[in-house]
Amino acid sequence: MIEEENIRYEGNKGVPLIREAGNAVKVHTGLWRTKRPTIELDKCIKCKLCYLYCPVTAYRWTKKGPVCDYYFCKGCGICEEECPVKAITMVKEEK
Amino acid sequence: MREFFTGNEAAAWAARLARAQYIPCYPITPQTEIIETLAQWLADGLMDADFCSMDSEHSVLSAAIGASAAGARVFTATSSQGLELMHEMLYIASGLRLPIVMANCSRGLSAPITLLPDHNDYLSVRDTGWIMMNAQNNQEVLDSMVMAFKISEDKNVLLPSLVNLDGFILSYTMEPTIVPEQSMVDKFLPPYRPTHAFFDPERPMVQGVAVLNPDDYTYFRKQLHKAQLNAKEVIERVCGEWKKLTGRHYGLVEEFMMEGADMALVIQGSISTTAKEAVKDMRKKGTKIGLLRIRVFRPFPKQEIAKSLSKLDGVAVVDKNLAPGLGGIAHPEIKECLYDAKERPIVSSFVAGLGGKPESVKQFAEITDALKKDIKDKRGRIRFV
Amino acid sequence: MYKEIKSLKDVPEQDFLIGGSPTCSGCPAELGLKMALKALGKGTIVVNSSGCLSLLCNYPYTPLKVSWLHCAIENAAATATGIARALKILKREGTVICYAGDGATYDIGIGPLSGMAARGDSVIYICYNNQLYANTGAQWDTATPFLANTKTTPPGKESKGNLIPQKNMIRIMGAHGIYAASASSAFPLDYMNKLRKAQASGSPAYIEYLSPCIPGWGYDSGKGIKVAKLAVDTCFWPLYEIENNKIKLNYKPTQVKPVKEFLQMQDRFRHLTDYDINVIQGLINADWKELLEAEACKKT
Repeated sequence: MIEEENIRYEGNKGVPLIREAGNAVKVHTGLWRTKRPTIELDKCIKCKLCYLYCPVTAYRWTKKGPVCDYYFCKGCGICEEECPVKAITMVKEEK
Repeated sequence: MREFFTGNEAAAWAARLARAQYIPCYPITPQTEIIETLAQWLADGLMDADFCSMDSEHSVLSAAIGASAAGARVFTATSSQGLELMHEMLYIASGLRLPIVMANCSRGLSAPITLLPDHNDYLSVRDTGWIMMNAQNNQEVLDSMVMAFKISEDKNVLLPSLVNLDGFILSYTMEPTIVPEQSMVDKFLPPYRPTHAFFDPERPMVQGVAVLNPDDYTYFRKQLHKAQLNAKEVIERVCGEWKKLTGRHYGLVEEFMMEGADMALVIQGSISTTAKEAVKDMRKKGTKIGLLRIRVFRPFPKQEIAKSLSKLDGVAVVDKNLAPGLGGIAHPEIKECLYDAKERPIVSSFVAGLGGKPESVKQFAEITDALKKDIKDKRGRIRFV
Repeated sequence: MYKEIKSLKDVPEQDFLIGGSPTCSGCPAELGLKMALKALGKGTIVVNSSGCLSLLCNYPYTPLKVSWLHCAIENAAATATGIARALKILKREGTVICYAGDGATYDIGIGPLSGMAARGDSVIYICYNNQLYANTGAQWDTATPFLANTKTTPPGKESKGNLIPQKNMIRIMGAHGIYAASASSAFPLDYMNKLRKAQASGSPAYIEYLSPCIPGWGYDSGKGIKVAKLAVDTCFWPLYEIENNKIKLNYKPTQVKPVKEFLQMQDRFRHLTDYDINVIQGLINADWKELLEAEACKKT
C-alpha cells in the first residue's frame, strides 16, 4: 500500500510500451506441445515449404536443410502435412 | 496584435500558432467554425498542417491517436455528441500517454436534443485521465490552448488536454482578443520531439500492448495518476512563463473579491463573467460575497479550493450540469475538498443554465439569498434555478 | 512496379515475426502475419484491431521485430490513417498495414474502413477472415457462411445453424475503386505478391486472407494448409482481385472439387445432411458462375 504523494514518477518507463523488439524469445512455448517433428534430412529436396509454413518460425534454414528450434515449436503438425516428400514425421513428445 | 473575433476563431488561432501538424476533424455544431477557419487558412497557404476530414468523431480521435503515436503534434475539436461517441478513445489516448490537444465547445447532451451550451459533455471526461480546463472568455480560450500544448508535452506529464469553451456564448460571440506574435509562441513552445512514443524503422516499438498481469496494469495506472498530480505544478509553471511573456495571469483557480468574504459562489466557464457582475453589485450593497472560478478541473485543485473556502460561512456551488440522481457534478467534488478542514462552510448546490438557460445577475442575487437561508438553517440544499 | 516473388526460393529470408506468442498451435492468422511481414519488409507498422492477434504481444514480451499499435476493435483503419499521414508530415519511411479480423472488419469497423478507402490514404488493410468472432469463442458474424455452426447459431431441433448469407466485403471494397483481393495461406506467393503490389502503389488496398480457425472450425491443427487449399479448389474461397473496378481471377481450378470434401473436414459443418450439402453446392456453383461472367464482361 502507498500514499499517492509517495508514488515515484518513473517518466517514460511508466508508459505502456515495449521497446525491446522480438523479446518473446524468452517465452518457452515449446513446453505446450504433445508431438514433436523429426526430420530426415537425406530425403529433403530443399523446397523451403516447412520453413515458410511454420506459424511460429520454429524452422531455421541452413545449407543442409531445415533445423527445428524445439524451444518454440508448438507441435501443430503443418510441416508434416505439407512436406512433399514426407521427410518430416510427428512423434509423441517424451516426458 | 489586437483582433475582434469569435471563440471558435480563437481556438483556430491557437492551433495555428502552436504549429499543429495534423488536424483530423468532423463537423458538429457549435465547433464547426474552428475547422472551417483552419481549412481556409490551409487553402490560402497561411498554415502548414495536414487537415483530414474523417468519417466520424470516433475515427477523428483514432486518427489523432495514430498520428500522435507516430510522433506528430495533433489538434482537434469536438462537442457534446461527438465527445460522447469518442468516449472509448479518450481513455485510450490518456492510457497511451499521447499529448493530443482538443477543443470542446460545450453543448447539452441528447436526449432531448439541444444545440445550446451546458457542461455535461465537458464533465463527462473527468474520469478519463485528460487534463481539463474551462475558459471564461475568448482571450483565455486562445491562451489556454497554446499553453495546453506545452503542458501536455512536458516530460513529467505526457497527457492529452481538453480546453472547454461554452458553445454559442463564447464560440459564436465576438470579443476583442490579443493574438500573440508567432515568434514569441515559437520560443515559448518548441517543436514536438517525443522520446517516449514514436515510430522509427530502426527502433521498432510496440504501443497499446495487452497488459494482462494485474500488478503491471496497476503500475501503469498509478503512473498515470502521478502524471496528473505532476500536472498541477507544471500548469502553474507554464502559466508563470506565459505571464512573463504576455502579462496575462492564469492559475488552477481564480479568486474574485474573496478578501473579507463570508460567502462565495463557486463556478466554472463563461457564466463566471455574469456572476462577477453580480458579486460587484452585491458587494456595493454590503453583502460580503466573493467568487471562486474553477479553471482547471483535472487535476482537481483540492488544496487551492480548501484554502480559499474553508473559513467561509457558506458556499454556493453553481453547476451548469446535472448528474441525475445526484445533483450538480462539481458540488460533491467541492465538498470533498472541505471534509478534512477544521472549520467547514455550509455548501449548497444550485443547478442552473442547463440546455443554454440564461443566467442573469438577478438570479445570482437570488442564489445568494437562498444560501443565506441555508447558512441560518445550518444545512446545504440542492436547488434547480 | 513492384519486385515480384517468382518462386519459393525468392521468398525473403528475414523474419519479422518470431515465436513465443500465446496463439493457438498452428494458428493460420499468425502465419498470415508472418508471410505479410516477409513480403513487406522492415519499416512496416502494424495496426491491429482487438481480436485473436491482439494477444500476440503480451506485456512485457513481443514476438515482433516491427512496430505495432493496438487501438480498439473498430478503428484500425482510422488509426492507420493517422499514422500514414503523420509519417508523411514527419518525412519518415514506413508502410502502414492493418491486421484485423473479420468481425472487426465486416461488422463494427466497416464505417472507418470505408472512410479510409474513400479518402485514399496509403494503408494496406489485411483482414484475416476466420468467418467468426473467434477470440470471444466462435460467435456468428456477417462473414459466417450459410448453415455453419457457431456458438450463437448452433444447430438444434429448431435450427440448422446460420441462415443469414455472408456479406461480400471484397466486392464492397472493390466498389470504392481501390485494389481489393482475396488470398489464402495455401497460395503464399499469390498472397505476398498482392501485398507487394499494394505497397508499391501507395494507394489504399484491401486484402482478405482466409484464416481457417482451428478451434472455431474444428479440425486437426496440422491440416491448416490443406483446408485452405480445399477452400480454393472447391470454389468456396475463390482467389481473385479487383483492380480499377475490374475483376480478374487469379486461379481457376482445373478440376473443381465438390464442396462436400471441404465441408467434411470441419466440425462446424458436421450437422449437415446430404440435402443441405447440395444446397450449399448450388449456392457455390451460382457464385462461381457469376464471378466467371463478371470477369468476362469486365464488371465489378
